[in-house]
Amino acid sequence: MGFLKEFVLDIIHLHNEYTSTAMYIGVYFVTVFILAFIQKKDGGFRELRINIVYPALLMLFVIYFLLPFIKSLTDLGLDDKTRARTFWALTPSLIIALGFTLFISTLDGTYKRLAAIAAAAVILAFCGEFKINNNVFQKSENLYKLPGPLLAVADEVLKEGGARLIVPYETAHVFRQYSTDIKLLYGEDATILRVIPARREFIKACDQMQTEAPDLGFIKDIAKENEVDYILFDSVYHRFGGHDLNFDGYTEQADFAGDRSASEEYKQITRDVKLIDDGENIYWDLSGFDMEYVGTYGQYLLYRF
Amino acid sequence: MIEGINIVLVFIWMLVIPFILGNLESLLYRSGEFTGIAGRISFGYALELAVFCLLSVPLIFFRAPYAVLKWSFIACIAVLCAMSVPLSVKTVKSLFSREGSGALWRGDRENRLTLTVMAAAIFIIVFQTALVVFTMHMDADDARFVGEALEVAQQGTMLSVNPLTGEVTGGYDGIPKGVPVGEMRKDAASPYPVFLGMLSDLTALNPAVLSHTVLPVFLIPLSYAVFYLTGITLFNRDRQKTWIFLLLLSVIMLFSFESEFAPGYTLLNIIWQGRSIAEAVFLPLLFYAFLRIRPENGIKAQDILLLLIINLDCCLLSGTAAIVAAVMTLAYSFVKACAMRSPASLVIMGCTILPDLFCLVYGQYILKAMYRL
Repeated sequence: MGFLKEFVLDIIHLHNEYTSTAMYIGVYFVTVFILAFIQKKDGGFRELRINIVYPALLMLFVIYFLLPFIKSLTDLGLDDKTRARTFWALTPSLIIALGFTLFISTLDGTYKRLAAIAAAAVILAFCGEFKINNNVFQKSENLYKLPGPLLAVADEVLKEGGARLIVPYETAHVFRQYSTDIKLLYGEDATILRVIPARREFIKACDQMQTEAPDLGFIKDIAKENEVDYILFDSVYHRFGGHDLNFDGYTEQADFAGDRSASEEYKQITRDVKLIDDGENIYWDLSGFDMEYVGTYGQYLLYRF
Repeated sequence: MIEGINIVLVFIWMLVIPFILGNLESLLYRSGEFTGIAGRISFGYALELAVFCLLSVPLIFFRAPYAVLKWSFIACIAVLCAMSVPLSVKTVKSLFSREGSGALWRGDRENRLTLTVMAAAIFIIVFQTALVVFTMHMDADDARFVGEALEVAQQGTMLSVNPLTGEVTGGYDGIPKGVPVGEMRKDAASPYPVFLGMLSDLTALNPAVLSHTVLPVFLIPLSYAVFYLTGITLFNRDRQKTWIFLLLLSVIMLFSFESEFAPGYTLLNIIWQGRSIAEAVFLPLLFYAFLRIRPENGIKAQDILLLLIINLDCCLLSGTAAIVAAVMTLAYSFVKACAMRSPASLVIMGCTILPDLFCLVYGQYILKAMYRL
């Protein structure tokens, strides 16, 4: 019973993983079903069955039954993301468009066909999700399609030929796409353990950097030990000595969903940090932790060790 | 910055060479139907990537210098282009002399409908391409793919540096230095990031610029070119039906953002990544390759070659693509072989998944065992 329940739940999970809130897979099923049963007098649809219906049934069996069955039985097999991508084999969008086109072409008359095309477009639009908005497609700031302030940071650290950085992990992927002369203490290897898991102390440094008040004593030591040249802070959430620098109201990187709060113990470490106003910029005085202010780039503050 | 020389190099590598290579298709299908520019360019890309796959996987395994891979690839492409140039001239001539090419412009009502639908489809496709080219969407996976490509283009090393941090891999626990470890094993089996790096090198562009700004200009239309080929084949060269098909497909792509696996998301957000290229271009091309196999004509050597080339492309692009290509190939081979009543055809077509199987076993088991990971 437990096996069966797990098996069915896995199939539902797999289905939801791919389809989410859209209805395209439902439309795909209906299209394949109709193609399976319609029949022309001259038998002209036999080819469609061979090219679409029968392969689809076989692939649906593999995707919906065989792969979950293997996983439930042996706990082996593909990971969830790869299994969700096996739906690509069905080429659902091609089959759906084919079904609608076949229907439209049965209509006589130009205006009927035009109306049917418009209706089909509306149905297809309502079956999916339209996400073309400013959150998904931001206006590009440069040809790299990477945030401009972070590229300005990269240019600054590259003035000396290359450097090693500690950065908030949400920004890490930018630097390594820009220049190989920039090295990082950690990236996603410290969060979701990509490529190879980072060393334990690097993961701790990454965790510290995600809080509002990182333990700069620990960060300083690890930076010295590993020849780190620069550290980048994010004025949106970092606060030292209780001083908030997010004057311009920048918003947080969208891909962080954790807790930024720091324990009182860590807040105490940087409680005496003062603000400096040099007339051009306002920044934290982190000289007590051997960090020298370099500049402000958008929401980011760069310090040199 | 993109300068004039970059544009010329991009034009050569992304359009001219695939077109010239694509004309070799007419050697395969000497008596077959004319597939037009869409068919030529699609086949050209498929051939180019297959050649790269065959060269890069062993050279990365033997840790050969990047220069060896680059120059051997250029030599192979040069030889293939030299073979194809006479065919290309013939194709260009035939493109201009084909009968009925102006038929669409005749003003009857049927053709006006076709033209209207065609204009609407082209408008949406151009809008989609412009959307990707002029806006930005950041994807954390690029830290690995583009990072590895950058190492190839700037340092001339292949999969020997952790793309996330820039540190040389290995050198601990008995693992040799500079070998593909962890997730990089997948890239040793499917070295698309190395191809991206080489393309950056050949076009003198940063891989981030190439991926995020330049590649969508070619890959989105290429995807629709493959859909066009599929439509032309499915609807027996009926242009009106084909353009209605393309228009509806382009609408689906606009609204298919329901999950990170949805076709619209992969086409319009991350088309430069290997698995997205497979999903948008090469898996539909595999579908098209099977459409060309008609049970009444039996299986031909050129069909098998085309299937093999596309499966090799999927191996190059991603391990996931190799799995999906293998599933598709087996399902279609089984049905086609049943329709032909020929078990031998099933075996022959089934053999075209051997590269996919090798790719999976090599990445998941052989390299893992070798480097004791």
